[in-house]
Amino acid sequence: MNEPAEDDDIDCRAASRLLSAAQDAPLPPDDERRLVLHLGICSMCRHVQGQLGVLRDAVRQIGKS
Amino acid sequence: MDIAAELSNLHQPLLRFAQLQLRHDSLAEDVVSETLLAILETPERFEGRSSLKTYATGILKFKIIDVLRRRGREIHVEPLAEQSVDDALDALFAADGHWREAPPAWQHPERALEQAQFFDTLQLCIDNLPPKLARIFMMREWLELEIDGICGELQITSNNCSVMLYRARMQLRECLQLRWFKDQA
Repeated sequence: MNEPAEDDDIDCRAASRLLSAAQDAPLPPDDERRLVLHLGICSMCRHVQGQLGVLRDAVRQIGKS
Repeated sequence: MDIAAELSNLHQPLLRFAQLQLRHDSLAEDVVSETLLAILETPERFEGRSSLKTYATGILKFKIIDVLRRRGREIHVEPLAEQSVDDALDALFAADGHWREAPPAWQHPERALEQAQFFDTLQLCIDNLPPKLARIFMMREWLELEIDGICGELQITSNNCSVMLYRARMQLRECLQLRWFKDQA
């Protein structure tokens, strides 16, 4: 099994950038791995991930009633 | 109420959407007029499967996208200065890269999406964004355009485009947190 390399460690600032980027295009595999590792240990960034999904659903409903 | 009267009630809300996207009063008036006329000319196409507002909004979106494709270059969007990009990222986080304010979980988002009041709050938050951020964000999330298309039309780099979307999302997240979800716990 491969130990995670040191540069796989990202902070919340970097994770939040990747969460936003992932809404627009598939992430490169390295970034995807770093993000998944970070989300595994950070509930705050998991909250933000869910919130970006809510935001997207909400905006798509604007004008529909 | 007949369809013409219902449509005239939709003029203002549709114009608001169009102005937000096009930032150009006469272009915005034009797309709204074209939308309303298209419905008046063939009212039989509106089969009542959705509300008239939903139907009109759908047509308006297509017309806005068409104008952006044909005239995007005339609708200039200033890219962000690189310095302000960095500043924006710094404000949310402490020096060690952690959130300054821990984002809490949002309670019952599915209930929010059923309430007209929530959408008023969302609109308010969108209106509070800097105009260029609001515009790019709505191109991406409301018109559902792909990011490459948006950057291309507006002739800004894809990095700048991503940063603007990031800033818009983070600001909206914070605004909805303060103005809605904080009180739902």
